[in-house]
Amino acid sequence: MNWTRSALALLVLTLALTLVGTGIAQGQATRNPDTLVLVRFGDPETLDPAYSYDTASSEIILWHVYETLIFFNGGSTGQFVPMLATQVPSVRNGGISMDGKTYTFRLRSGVKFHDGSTMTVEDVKYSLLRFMFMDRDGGPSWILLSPILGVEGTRDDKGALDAALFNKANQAIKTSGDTISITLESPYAPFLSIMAQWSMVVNRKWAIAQDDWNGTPLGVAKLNNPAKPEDTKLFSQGNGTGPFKLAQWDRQGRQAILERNTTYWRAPAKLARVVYRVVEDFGPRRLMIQQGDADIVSVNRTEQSQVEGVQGVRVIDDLPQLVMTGIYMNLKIDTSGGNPDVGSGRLDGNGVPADFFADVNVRRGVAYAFDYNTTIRDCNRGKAIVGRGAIPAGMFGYNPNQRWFTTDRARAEAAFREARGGQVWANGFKFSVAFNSGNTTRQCTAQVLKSNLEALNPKFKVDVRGVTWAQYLSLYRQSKLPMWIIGWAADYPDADNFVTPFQHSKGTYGSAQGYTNAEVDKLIVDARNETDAAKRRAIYFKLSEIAFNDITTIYLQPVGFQVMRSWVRGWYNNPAFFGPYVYPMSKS
Amino acid sequence: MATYIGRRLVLLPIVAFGVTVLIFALLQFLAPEMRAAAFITNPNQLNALPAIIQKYGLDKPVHIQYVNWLREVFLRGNLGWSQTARQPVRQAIGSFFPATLELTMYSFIPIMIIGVWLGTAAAVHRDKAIDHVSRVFSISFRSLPSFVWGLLILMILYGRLNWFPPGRLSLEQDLFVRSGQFHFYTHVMTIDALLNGELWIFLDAVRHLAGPVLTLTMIRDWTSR
Repeated sequence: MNWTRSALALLVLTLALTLVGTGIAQGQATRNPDTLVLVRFGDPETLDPAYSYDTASSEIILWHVYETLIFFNGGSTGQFVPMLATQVPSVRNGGISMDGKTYTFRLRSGVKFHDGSTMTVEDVKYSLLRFMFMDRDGGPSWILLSPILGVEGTRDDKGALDAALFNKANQAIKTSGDTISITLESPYAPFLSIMAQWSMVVNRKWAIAQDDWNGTPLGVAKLNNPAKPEDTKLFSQGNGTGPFKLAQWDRQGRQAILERNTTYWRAPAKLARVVYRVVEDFGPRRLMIQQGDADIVSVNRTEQSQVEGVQGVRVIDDLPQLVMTGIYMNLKIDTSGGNPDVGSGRLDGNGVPADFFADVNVRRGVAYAFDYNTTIRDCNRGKAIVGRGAIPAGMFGYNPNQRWFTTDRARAEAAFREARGGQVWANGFKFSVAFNSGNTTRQCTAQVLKSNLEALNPKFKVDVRGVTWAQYLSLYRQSKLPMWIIGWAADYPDADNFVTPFQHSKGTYGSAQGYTNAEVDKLIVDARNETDAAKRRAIYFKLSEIAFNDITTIYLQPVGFQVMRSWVRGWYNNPAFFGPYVYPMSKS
Repeated sequence: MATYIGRRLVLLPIVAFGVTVLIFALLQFLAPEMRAAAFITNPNQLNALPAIIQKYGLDKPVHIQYVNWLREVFLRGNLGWSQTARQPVRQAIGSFFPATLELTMYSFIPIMIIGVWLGTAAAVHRDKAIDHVSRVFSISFRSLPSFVWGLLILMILYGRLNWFPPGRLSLEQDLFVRSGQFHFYTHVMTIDALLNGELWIFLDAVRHLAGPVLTLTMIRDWTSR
């Protein structure tokens, strides 16, 4: 027994010493100086630029593997610089036609793909058409389909492909020499923002050789709406013009590796390699940045204090981001089938009727009762601002002087007293506020609102309910929730991408809230088609004013932050980015 | 014995059939929108909910959905798409198996040696110190979930001492095995490292295995006492 024990002890000791020998921390010297390691909590869905519609995927491929015709100028979301095109089209330089419908891009010459072949306008056309006609359910294709063809999808209600559309698109995108021109269905002001983000150019010849779309109308049926992400050939391989080549996406090891493109059309990137790793738990992610094994990690606002003060780690706060959180009031609740969120379904003090929020006084009462300062201080660690309408602060069309609600108990009470001829105040109500479970910020926001409303009148009762994402989808589609909290992140940096989902009667949230205002719908379309910036801004100001008058949604705009090792250099923020733009970055 | 095995084998398909029917029936309690949640993962995709439900036939009668599923499994060998592994389920099982095998292999040895030794010692010295100590540890280790031990071990042995980092390999080693100079014979990293004659890869792989092995050993040993 004694012998076994000492043998065991010796074994353990030897093993430990061997391991320690190889594992001594290397002080504060820069770890892996030519490799940037980013550790995230979610896997990319695909690396195909026409399928990808999630941050984790876009972060890897966009501007690293694939590039766009134009790019954002520094931290600006509204000013552009040329990228694969030689200039940013404008009416003055003839790049935009006088009627605002045709955009012409002259292609940069001598740009090479990762396989050494030269990029041509045919590659650009192929890429745009491929993006539009892949059109997988829940994918990003509508972003180009909508301005170019005036449709949101390529299939009818039964899922059948509209055969005439391809020909129309083929006509709308014309190539000639080294220029490509795109003619829109009608003038669409956000088009340059869209081109800066969604015009990723793939290598046509290479893609065809990989048995991807063959570029002909006959191949569209096979390209359209693939059943699974892996059904597309560009799912895990890539061939673009970007500063990095896709070396490998190891789904078992949960990492994607990019390697420097030494024949890049500009100076090669400073970093030789970029590694995107997935570690779901915050604990190990935090340890990795502490040890320098990670250079940039994802951190939630609630975990922020745990990375502050860690030696060698930099937290960059107060970053503007194109995200809006809404507290939505449902004007047409489906109260059928014993909906637990509306209690009795009547205005008897134990529930709310279907049209409870249809009375603007109720909605104003909620907006005046809500304690904005407490919510921002306690739920957002002070890092959020009250939205003055759907358009985020800092974006074109935002009106900093728009009149908005502030916490005012007297006004809240007056509004509730006026609602439904005094019945709301006399009878009271009961309903639930839903948030996506696990999101502590939104849970806290719902609780603040609950206490604010209940403090007004003892007959006012509010339940706070966490629902899973799956439950949420079901309740959302059936319009069962009386009030809920969820966010929206921009598809492209333009006010149109906020007013449409939030205010249009057919928008993602407007439709779920049963909100219809014909004037709003018209103004949204007018703003899209308006090419005069001053007139366009005036329309957005008007839309924010209506958002105030009609108050259907309370807006909160959270502020972002980044956590990185202090040896990371060259990082800069642009709210339109899906992740750090690695090309100018280095480590020292 | 042979009849017993025979009977079980005959029953197996019936049981498997019953289980699939049961699971399918249970899933019907979830609304079609809820089952679409695997494909609609962010608010920007909300408009596509009806199209997703139609595409996968989530609102079709249950027997049709079941027959569709059976057809995929038996005629095409399609076990489905794993949203977490981002690959087909069959491929996912194949690609994760070597790592599981490796972990099991390495934790098996200490679990057996220490576990058997502890059990024997506790039995021989019943109601003595060793018996009591192992009982106390056994109960406390069992009551805590494994991830808590995993995190504790990470915090101390990685966060503080930097001995045993997470993952399968360190960056430099990882890039080396992907560089084409390394041949994967079995996909069990330590074995492949030895077969390639790369001792430094072997040591690094052992260093990364140590944390999980230690966690499993602690839990299994004390609890299997």
